[in-house]
Amino acid sequence: MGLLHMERVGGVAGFGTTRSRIRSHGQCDLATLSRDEAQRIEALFQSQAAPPSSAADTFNLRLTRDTPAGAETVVVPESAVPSRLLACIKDELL
Amino acid sequence: MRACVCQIIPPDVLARLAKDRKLTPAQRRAFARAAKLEPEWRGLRGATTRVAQLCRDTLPAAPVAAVATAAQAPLSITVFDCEHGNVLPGRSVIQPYSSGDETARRTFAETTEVARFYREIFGRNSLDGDGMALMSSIHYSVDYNNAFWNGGQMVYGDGDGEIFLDFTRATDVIAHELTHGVTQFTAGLAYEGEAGGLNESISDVFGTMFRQWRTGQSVAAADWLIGADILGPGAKARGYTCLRDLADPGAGHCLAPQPSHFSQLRKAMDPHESSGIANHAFQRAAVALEGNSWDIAGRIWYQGLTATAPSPNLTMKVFANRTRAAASKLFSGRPAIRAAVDAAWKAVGL
Repeated sequence: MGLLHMERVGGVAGFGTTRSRIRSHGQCDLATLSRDEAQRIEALFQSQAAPPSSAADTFNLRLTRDTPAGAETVVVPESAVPSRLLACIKDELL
Repeated sequence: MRACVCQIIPPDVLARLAKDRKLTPAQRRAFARAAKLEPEWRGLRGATTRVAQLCRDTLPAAPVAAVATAAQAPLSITVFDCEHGNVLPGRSVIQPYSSGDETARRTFAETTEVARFYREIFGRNSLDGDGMALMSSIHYSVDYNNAFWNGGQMVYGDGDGEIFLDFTRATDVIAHELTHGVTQFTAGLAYEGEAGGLNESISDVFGTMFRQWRTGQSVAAADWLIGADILGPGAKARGYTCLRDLADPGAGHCLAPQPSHFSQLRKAMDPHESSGIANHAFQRAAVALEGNSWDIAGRIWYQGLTATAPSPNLTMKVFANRTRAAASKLFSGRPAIRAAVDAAWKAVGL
């Protein structure tokens, strides 16, 4: 199944900008997801169901997973990601 | 299932989950209710913005006395407690001004002050110019390192206590979020490209202006930092003093250094990065004009934001020209003011 990499971007502090000194990221083993969580994540990769949030200062999440064709990345609103997965994300200073 | 009814889950995801047989009936009902409400909320926010903009553009201006009377009516300012969940708005805080929760008291007090700032300095009656109620939610999520404007209200996290403290501790952050509402109801700036950078800059500019106004600081005394009051001990120990610095956007003491010249702008740059260009132009103009930032530079920037029809894709160059025109119009007998604004924009490549 592989790993799901997650990175928060945006927010009032500008997480994840090219010069930012603060990063917020985490990962989880896709094999450990519940069926519902796995389906929600799959839906995010398979469709445009959750376009990135354009509300001011809200977080988006950059999700990346490995596939036979290479790494696949989507950017979705934080609210579209199951809360248990969000708990895997930690903020850190560079 | 509380986390699942957050208002910004896309409607098709809510609708799909409402029919998901793997969920319990109660969970499906919760998603169905959320799916039904969600487009109504979105529609209401959009309609409110459009009506406010349409009224401003098409109705005759009210007599000054009437506007003054309306502006004296007390605004509805409410505070809700998310109790560390993700459901908005959360539980209503009764009488937040005397709450035992310092965050609730502070949020109410500073939101009230921001409303007073816009009313007394710029003659604006709340975010929409028509007395819109101001709603804030506090204690959002757990150790949440953010504050945001969701299109209809302000939301504040408590911070993790290490990198960030409670986001309501920073008056500039509170004014920053509220100003996103002003921008939404006036220029209606998009949140990407140059317009996105301007959107963020407007919030930083009025955020720092409010912080200076709140403490009676002149441009000479001001530190021009954004978010200095929410940095936690871990961030300070690493030498960081702020999120951003309008006087020196690329400085190493910023958690999110920014470009300060238009030549450094890149495609797909995050609004929190590209905003440094316009931020620095404002700081240079305000310092050159001396005194208080809100007296001259602030009025010019406010005019640039509000005096024309909504411009979602406004470029930095056009905005710069609007402030040049505003300087000439507002201070027609003082050409040095227009010259100072012009020089500030030229210094950042615009």
